[in-house]
Formats: sequence, structure tokens, C-alpha cells
Amino acid sequence: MHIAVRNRYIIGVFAFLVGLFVLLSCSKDDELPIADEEETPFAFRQPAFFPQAVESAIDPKTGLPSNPLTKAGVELGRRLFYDPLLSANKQVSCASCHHQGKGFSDGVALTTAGVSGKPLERHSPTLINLAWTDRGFFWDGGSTNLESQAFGPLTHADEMGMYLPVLVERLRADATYVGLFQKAFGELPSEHRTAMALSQFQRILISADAPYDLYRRGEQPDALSADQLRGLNLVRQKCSSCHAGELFTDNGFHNNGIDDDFGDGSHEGIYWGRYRITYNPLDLGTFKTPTLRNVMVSAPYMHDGRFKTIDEVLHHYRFGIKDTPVTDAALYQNNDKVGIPMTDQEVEEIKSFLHALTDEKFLNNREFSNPYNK
Amino acid sequence: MKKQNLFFAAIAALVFTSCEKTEIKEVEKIVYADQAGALSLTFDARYGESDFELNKKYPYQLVNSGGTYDMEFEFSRLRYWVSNVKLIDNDNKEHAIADSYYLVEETNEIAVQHLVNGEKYPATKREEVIIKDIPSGEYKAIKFSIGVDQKYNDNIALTAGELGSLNGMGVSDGWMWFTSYKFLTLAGTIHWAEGTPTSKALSWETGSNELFDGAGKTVELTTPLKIDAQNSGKVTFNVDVKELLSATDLPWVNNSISQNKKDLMIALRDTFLSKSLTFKEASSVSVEAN
Ligand code: HEC
Ligand code: HEC
Repeated sequence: MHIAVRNRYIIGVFAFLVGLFVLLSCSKDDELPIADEEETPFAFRQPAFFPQAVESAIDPKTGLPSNPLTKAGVELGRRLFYDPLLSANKQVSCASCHHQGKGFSDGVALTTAGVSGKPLERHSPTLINLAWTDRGFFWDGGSTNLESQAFGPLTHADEMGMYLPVLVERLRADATYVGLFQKAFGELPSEHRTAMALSQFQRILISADAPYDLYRRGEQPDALSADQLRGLNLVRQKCSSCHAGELFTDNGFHNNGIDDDFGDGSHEGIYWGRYRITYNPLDLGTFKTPTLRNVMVSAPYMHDGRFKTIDEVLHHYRFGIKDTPVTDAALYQNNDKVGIPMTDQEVEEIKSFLHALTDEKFLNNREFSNPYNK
Repeated sequence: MKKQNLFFAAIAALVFTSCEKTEIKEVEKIVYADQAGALSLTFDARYGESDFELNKKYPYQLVNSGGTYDMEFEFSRLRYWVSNVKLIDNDNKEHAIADSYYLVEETNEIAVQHLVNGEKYPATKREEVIIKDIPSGEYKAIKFSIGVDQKYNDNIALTAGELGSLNGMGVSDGWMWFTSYKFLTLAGTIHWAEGTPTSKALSWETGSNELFDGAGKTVELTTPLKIDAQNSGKVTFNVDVKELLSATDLPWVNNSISQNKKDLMIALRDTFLSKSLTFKEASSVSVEAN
């Protein structure tokens, strides 16, 4: 029949076109090495003597870590970290407040580098060995994991001031990012993948090659001078209940006696410390112990950057600790009286040792630096 | 003609199945959308006998140990997460709905504080949640929670259902505490002619992992719901905001309830679950198969 023939002809053409489409669309997929790269795990470094690094949170759907490091993910995270596109006015990147040469701190007490130009309420901390931070991020531990933490600076009105839907729009309009997100996650750019990539990059910011480490691992037994060795012992003795172990932090929260009035809840509860999160009175004025690694390049110090030099810090521990009901018990080293006794010479030895925690390899590692300045 | 259509469909299916998985998902969505096997949950916000509307003053007579006070409440926002939906069949077996996280809200337009580009979250009203692909069966009760369980509450970079930092504008809009979800918020203004000042901002919130324990509700349905290839189910709840106001008998003093007032948060949660949110009706609707 006439109609039947015509139908068969149409079907034939349709089938041919479809077949062609199948071939083209699938062969194109095969050429893209996407799947491969997505899978390539990043060779994470677990330095000798360090505790086991913390995996990203378990994804309830798969029972596996939700954000495993991959080469493509780390590389994407690095670009995002240094890209001002992530801020409302396109002028502020994560690196505006986290400078590699200063251990990813920024050298000022309270930065005004955010989109509003207003000073922040807290000092920019270093970003060092974050893959071992297991008890919360921010000075008060307000964020339980690195992935969630990223939304803080991205959206804070005085940091990057970003409206997340606009962030997604911008990234999707950028062909390079579309390709990089595909490579890293097999998906279009999204705000939560942005947080994940940033976290992957930050987890590889590992500092474990200071003279102290070379000495510790026996790679260079004479890496520390006699003064520095005495300083190491003093730090172990007097400071290590908080600045503990190879990380030189217990990642815990302590009141180190810099204030004695915690009643004022203004300035985002800055005087409250971790109390702001837990509402436990024992947490009044407690802050996360910062690492001592690279501490000689990361001045000023404390959650509000109040001490300009390491001398001021040591002077505080020696003479200035405030005796309050919430001051940490580890600071009563003076026959049960408040204070950490140190002689002038011991202060010099401690300082000398702290220099041995400066990791030039970390501070200059090209893999951590701005990928746009090649 | 029919056969021919089938043939085209088959080839089209072949095209989609032969390549990426994501495309198959798209096709499935189109085929099953809004058809049988679905469950609709409606959370009908009310204020006593009247419909709940934003920006309208409702009279509220407060009676407490101090006396009787005539106040007015005006609302700008009611928002909460409905999660972990489970259907209970006639054999008492629970059927958990995967990834069931839904944001129910009625909110005014919100200007984002970050003035740089002056973005605004549009006024939004969402009372109905539609859950597709319900396993066929007869269900006599439904369970759910108000809030987000810890595994997701601790990590806002994970996504499931409607969870995510974009929804309800997430972090930008103060719909988060640090980096976890708020479970329930009611915001607006309290007016009291004899007060000084004569009005105060109302901001009531619940949240925190601790409060998720005890944030569940089980509702027995009067007649079992039949959901299968021919039938979809519809359940309606009343959400009476006036009842919610009874969470405290000192609303003028406790005009702000948040993390630092745990007892009041618990009272707010419990009042919402036991007095404010009540079952209205449920029915199965047969869907014509075409
Ligand atoms: C305008 C300055 C500024 C910008 C931009 C900025 N930060 Fe920060 N960052 C800070 C300050 C200040 C803190 C401490 C805040 C607190 O603890 O409350 C901080 C804390 C952190 C922490 C917590 C570290 C720890 O040990 O607890 C991480 C991680 C971090 N920032 C990563 C980022 C990332 C990723 C970006 C970009 C998306 C970024 N920052 C952008 C200033 C900034
Ligand atoms: C009770 C625990 C504890 C002890 C003991 C302790 N610290 Fe600290 N240290 C902290 C905490 C907590 C902070 C952060 C406080 C803040 O930000 O307000 C801190 C901050 C510092 C900082 C500033 C780091 C930065 O990046 O801002 C230095 C340096 C430091 N301590 C050195 C020492 C030395 C040296 C000793 C021993 C002599 C010592 N600490 C003993 C808990 C302790």
C-alpha cells in the first residue's frame, strides 16, 4: 500500500538518523577522558608521625566519604581559592585574606579586605594541616567540617558577600569552569561542589617539612641547634597540653587567659568564644588552639590579632594570664598559681625553636600558589 | 499508527539508554510525572478559624498569671523543614521515602543584606509537597519530622531532596545557624498598645541536632490510603499559627527564641508538633490511565 511504503520509508530515515545520533553521541563520550580523570585519586600525603588524617564526612547515601580527593578536584579547588569571581564585586578571593607566604594568614589583626571594606570581627587564621582538624573549624568551632565552612566566607556580607544563586550562574557561564567541574565531579558547577572542591584543595595544604620535621624524621639529625633542641623540650613541657603532638595543636578549645570579662555578647559574641556555639558556661572565652607551625611568619596572634609579636605572646603566658573560673587548668604551672614560668633564656630558646617550625617548602610550594600567575 | 509510535518510542528509548545515565533520569521524570502512585501532602497554614496571611494583624488575647492582655500579631515568615517521611501500611511495616526533605514556607520578599547587587529572595508560598513513586500499598499512618537529621544537618555541602544551601536562600538569608539548618522559624511583629515600645520584632526559631530527637510526629489516618498504579493519595494537615503562639505565655518577653534559649526552643517544637500541626483529611484519588 502506498501509505505503508511511505511509512516504512519514514521509519527507515528516522532509524538511520537515530542510529547516526547514537554513534556520534556515544563515540564523542568515549573520546573524553572525563570518567578517567574523575576517578584519579589525589596521592594524599600522610607524613610520618602525624595522626591519621580525617576523611570527609560519610555520605549517607553511599556510606563512603562524601568528598574524596581527586586530582581534578584539587586543581579545581585551587583555581576557585584564588579566583575573585567568587565574590560579589569580583575583587575578593579566599586568598585575599589567606596568603600562602604567611601560612595562609594575612598579617593584619582584623582585615578589611572583604567586599564591604569593613573590618571583620576576627583575625584570619592560618590554613595549615586542616586535613587533621577533627573538632570543628573557625576560632569557635562553629563549623563542623571544611565543606560547610566554605559557605561562611562566600556569603558573609563583609567577606565575599556572594548570593549563592549568582555564584552558580557565574560559574555555569564560564566554559572553563564548566569543563573543570565536569572533570572533577561529572556535573555542572554548583554551590555545594564549589565548597567540596575548595575543601579538597585546602586538605592538601600540608606543612611537614620544617627543620623540626627533618630532625624528627631523622632525615637531618643536626637540623636543630642546641638552643632549638632546648626550646623543643620547653615547648613539650609547658605548651604541649594544648599545642600538642606533631600538629602542634590538639584542635581543642581552651581559655588561654587573655580576657577576664565574658559578659559582652556584642561583635558576633567575640568575647564568648565557643560559648557562642555550645552555650556551655565552661566554654566562655575558649578558642581553638592554633597550630604553632609557621607561627613566626603568621603574626599577629590570637583570635583578634591582639598580640603583634611573638614576644608579646610569650610575655602574656609568663606574666599576663588572667585568673578566672574558666582559665584553662594547664595554665596554672606556677605552683598552682596562674602563669607559665619561663626565664629570659628559656623565652629565647622557645623563640628559637619556633623558628624551626617555619616550613619554607610549604610557604613556597608551587602547588599551593596562585595558578593564574604562571 | 499506534504501532508506529511505539516503534519510534522504542528507538528513542534505545538512544537514551545507550548513552549517559543522566539522560535516562530525564525521560523517567517525564513519563511518571504527576501520575498515579504519588502522594500529596498539604500543610494548610491557618490562624485559628481564618486563613493564614502574611502582613495582616491578627488579634491575640494573652491570658497568663499576670492578667489578660490584648495584643496583635503580624507575620512575615513561616518556614520549616518536613523530613524523613515514612508510610505505615496495614501490617505496621514502615516504608521510608528516600531523600524526603521538603521546605514548606510562606515568606515575604527578603532583600539580601549584601547590598552589592541588591539581590532579593522572592516572596514564596509553598504548602504542598508531592512525593512520587510511592510503593503500591495501603497505608494507615504517616510519620515525619520537622527539621533535619544530624548526618545532613552537620554538612550543608551534602544534598538530598530539597536540602542544600540554595534552598530558602540558605546561608545568605540567615536560614542557617553557623553551618546547620534551622528547623522551624516564625517571624513578624508583636503589637501591644500598652507596651513600651508598642511593638517588638518576633523571631522564633528551632534547630540543633539535640532538638531533632523528639521532632517526629505520627499521624493515624482515619481511613487507609490506597496508593498504586491507579491511585494517588492526598493528605491535608492544618498548621494553626495561633496555637503555636501558646508555646510561651510570655511572648512579649520571649519575643526572640533561638539557640541560646533551649527550653523555649523545645517548647516551640513541641507546641508545633502537638497543637499547631493537626490532621485534617486524607483521601485516595483514582487517576485515569490514558
Ligand atoms: C575577608 C577575609 C576573608 C576571606 C575573603 C576569606 N576568609 Fe577564611 N577566614 C577569615 C577569617 C577572619 C577567619 C576566622 C573566622 C572565625 O573564626 O570566625 C577565617 C577562617 C577560615 C577557615 C577556618 C580555619 C580553621 O582552622 O578553623 C577556613 C578553612 C577558611 N577561612 C577558608 C576560606 C576559604 C575557602 C575562603 C574562600 C571561599 C576564605 N576563607 C575567604 C577571613 C577570610
Ligand atoms: C591551655 C592551653 C594552652 C597552653 C598551655 C598554651 N597555649 Fe598557646 N594558645 C592556646 C589557645 C587556645 C590559643 C588561641 C587563643 C585565642 O585565639 O584567643 C593560643 C594561641 C597561641 C599563639 C598564637 C597563635 C596564632 O596563630 O595566633 C601562640 C604563638 C601560642 N599560643 C604559643 C604558646 C606557647 C609558646 C605556649 C607555651 C609556653 C602556649 N602557647 C601554651 C592554648 C594554649
